[in-house]
Amino acid sequence: MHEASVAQSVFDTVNEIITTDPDAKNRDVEKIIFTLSHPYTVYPDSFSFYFEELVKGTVLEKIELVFEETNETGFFIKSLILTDEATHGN
Amino acid sequence: MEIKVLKNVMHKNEAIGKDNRELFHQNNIFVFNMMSSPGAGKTTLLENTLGAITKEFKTAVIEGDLYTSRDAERLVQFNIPLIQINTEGGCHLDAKMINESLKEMDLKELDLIMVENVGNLVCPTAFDLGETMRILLYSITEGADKPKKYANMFQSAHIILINKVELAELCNIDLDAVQSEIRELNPTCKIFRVSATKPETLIEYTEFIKKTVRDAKES
Repeated sequence: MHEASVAQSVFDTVNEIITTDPDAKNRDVEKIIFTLSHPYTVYPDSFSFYFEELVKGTVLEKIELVFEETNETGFFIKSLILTDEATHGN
Repeated sequence: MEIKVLKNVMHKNEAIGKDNRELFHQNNIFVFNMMSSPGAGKTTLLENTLGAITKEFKTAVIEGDLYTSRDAERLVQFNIPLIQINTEGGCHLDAKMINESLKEMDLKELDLIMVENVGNLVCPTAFDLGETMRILLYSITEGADKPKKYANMFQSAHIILINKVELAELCNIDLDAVQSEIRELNPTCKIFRVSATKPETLIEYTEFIKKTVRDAKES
């Protein structure tokens, strides 16, 4: 199912952000907020299933996935919500 | 704290699809993405229309299937560039697969590419290959309820062929009612009623394809 490859794509994108964005340094990601519209091209339940398997044992393991419905066509990563305080490192 | 991302999750496929589209545009190639459920008649449609199409246009075919080259083998008779993609479990073609296939072709020598997608009424809708138009082949043997059940696919098509119409009575299908439902979902698509195994029913469709490509190349 293509939700598996989409989950991998999101996993790679989020990992890239948390390793390169200076604002993300030393903070944990609490939530990923997605936006999506009808008709769905990626199904949230299937996507969540694959994503949760992918992140097991990684720093993203406890992440919450939030899906917001919009009128904009497509399935977007809207934003990452990180802890306000640094949780690790210097 | 919040980090705004605003990235389309399908961005990789979208980006390569855009590259493909640009490549087709640069080489003045028209591309049809043919979609349907398995067994609806895509390869039969190609078998019975490529003869007329290739008389006017230098055509290539890209075949997509999970396994085997059976569909491509059926089209060898036309002596045209032919690529078989085996997804080995993948439920759709994607832009990267098409991009890789294009490297095996001399694009300067082509007017038209027909892509026969993996038989699937769901997933191919979401994957832009860079095509110019989408053709959906809907077989009435699948049942009269399929257009509304698979609305995404029917809404995304530019051309819809209602196939196997010779079986309408046997399948207890009201073709007018089915066509009305399709029209309700997609007010702008071109609809043809055909029997892909009978070439005489494909003339109007084939002429429409040829005119569409001709007009695009002249514009």
